[in-house]
Amino acid sequence: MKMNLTLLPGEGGIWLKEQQVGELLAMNAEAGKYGLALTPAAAAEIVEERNRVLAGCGRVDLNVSVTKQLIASFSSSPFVQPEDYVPLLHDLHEVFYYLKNETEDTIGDAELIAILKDAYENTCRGDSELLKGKIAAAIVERFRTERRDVNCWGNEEADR
Amino acid sequence: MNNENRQPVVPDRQELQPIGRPDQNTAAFRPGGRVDREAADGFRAEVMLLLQELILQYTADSSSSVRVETAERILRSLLYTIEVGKQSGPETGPGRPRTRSARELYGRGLQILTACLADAKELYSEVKWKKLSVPLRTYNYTINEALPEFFLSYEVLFGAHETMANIDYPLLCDVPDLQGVFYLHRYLAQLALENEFCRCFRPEEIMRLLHNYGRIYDIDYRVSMVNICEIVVNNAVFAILAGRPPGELTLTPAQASDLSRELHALAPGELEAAVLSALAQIGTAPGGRPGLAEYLRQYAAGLVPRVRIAAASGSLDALILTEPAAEAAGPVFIGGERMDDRRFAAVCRRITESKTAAAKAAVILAEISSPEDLVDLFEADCLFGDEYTTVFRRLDATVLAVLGRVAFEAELRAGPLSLAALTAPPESGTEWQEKYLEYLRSLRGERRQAVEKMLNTVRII
Repeated sequence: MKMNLTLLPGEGGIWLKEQQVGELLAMNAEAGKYGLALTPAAAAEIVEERNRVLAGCGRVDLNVSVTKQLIASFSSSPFVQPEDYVPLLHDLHEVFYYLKNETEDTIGDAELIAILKDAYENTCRGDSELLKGKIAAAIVERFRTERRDVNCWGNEEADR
Repeated sequence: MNNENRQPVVPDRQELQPIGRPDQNTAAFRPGGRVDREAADGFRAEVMLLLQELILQYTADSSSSVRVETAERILRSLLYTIEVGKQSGPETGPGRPRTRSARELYGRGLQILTACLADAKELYSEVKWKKLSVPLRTYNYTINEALPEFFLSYEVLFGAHETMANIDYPLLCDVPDLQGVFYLHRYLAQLALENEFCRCFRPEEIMRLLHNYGRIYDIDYRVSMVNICEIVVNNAVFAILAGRPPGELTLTPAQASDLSRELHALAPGELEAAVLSALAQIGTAPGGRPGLAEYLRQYAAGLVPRVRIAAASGSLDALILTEPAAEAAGPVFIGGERMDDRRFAAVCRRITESKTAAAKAAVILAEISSPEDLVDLFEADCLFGDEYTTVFRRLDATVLAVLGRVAFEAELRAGPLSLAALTAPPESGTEWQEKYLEYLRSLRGERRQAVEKMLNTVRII
């Protein structure tokens, strides 16, 4: 039996979407310090794009706390220009939820955002394509190597 | 403690059975009863908020998102818990106001489930404590492993609806179509009742019944899916109908034949009345647990038609478990219960770590009580060379004969064995069998005679 997790109050979850758009618009106060702001249409687009990414990754996120954390963290970066702001948030959602899956939920939201922010500024120098590509692949590779090491170590322990 | 303020967290055990398989489909997003659209929307919004909170709890506040499968599992659990709250609330009676708050229903449902889980754990302690000592694999596995695994894996917050357990041991009466911890609670309550009932009879009587069951149906009862209580109740009924004193289970073939003739002569109504009366006597016998009489009445629905059909077709002999004829009966060896894997491994370790053969033998004699475990131990490379002989010397003639029946099973099927004729171990012989044969051939005098006699006559049950 497949459940309908999109069954939200009212017609098609409009009520919730409005609430989430409102929450993102409220982040303009913070982002505005760095000359960044979302229009209601852009905020709505971000919510929709985020939902599309979630569906593509097979994940459920019932609030926009991750989006708000991404805004709070990345808006202070000197590499973010107003014209790149919305596309950057789309890219960040994509890489964030991809990595949540690939690292098997072992990295918490705040920690993963900190890793992405550090890589975005220090390795990618503001190139979000590089972040989504090579950097994401490197994070996944490191996770798998560490897990393999842990498993090997664990097996040795068990054999003793 | 002020008892007046204490809330009754667990409903009476008899009442802990109302939740079957509530509708966990999207329809369960409603508060129940006739509500307007606004109330329904508000209820759904509350459910989604609760789901969001549970997801955060699930990830220990580290992540707000989870995979769809995880979210679905948590949502199922949440809706199940709400349904428990709906069906168990004080306002479920006619004319009582219904709560419209999903959070309130959830809280109430969670309280009931948590209390049910705690009560199920108590019941499990009782079942474990009063477990019968029988070498029946499904019974022992269910109690020793499957039930503890359920308690380890059951998550009332995130999988309240789940019944993830390999509970293979069948009960006298099927557990109704329940879910989650309600299923387990009912299963344990019935199992406790059955254990208590069986404990009214002597363990040797029950072992004889099990052995006779295996003999009559030509199966190894130890690996069968038989319900112990069922064969005990059946034979107790037949013993009463045959005029045996209360508490007796064993019938001879002659007694069973007489009873078959008597029951065959009864009209169907008289037969049913006789069986029901015998069940009632058993159910109300001193020492019986409350609820036993009702449980046996429930079982009667299955037993009465079986007896009626068997009596009509003259095949009651297949239902009545009898002792073999006296000449076929020999000495009986009743083995103890097998160890679980963990305990067996610990004993093996202790034996391996023992420095002398005498110390190893002492551990074996102190710890091993089932012939199967003894054979497994011999095959587990814990003993070497003459250490086997040291152990054999300390075993009595009956246990030595039991080992012989395992080692020479094929030869014994062909007829009685003489120790003098045993010159080689079985073809697929292992080290212990070679050493065993060597030891048997070295025996002299009374011990040799005793082992030889036992080897050909002992029945292992």
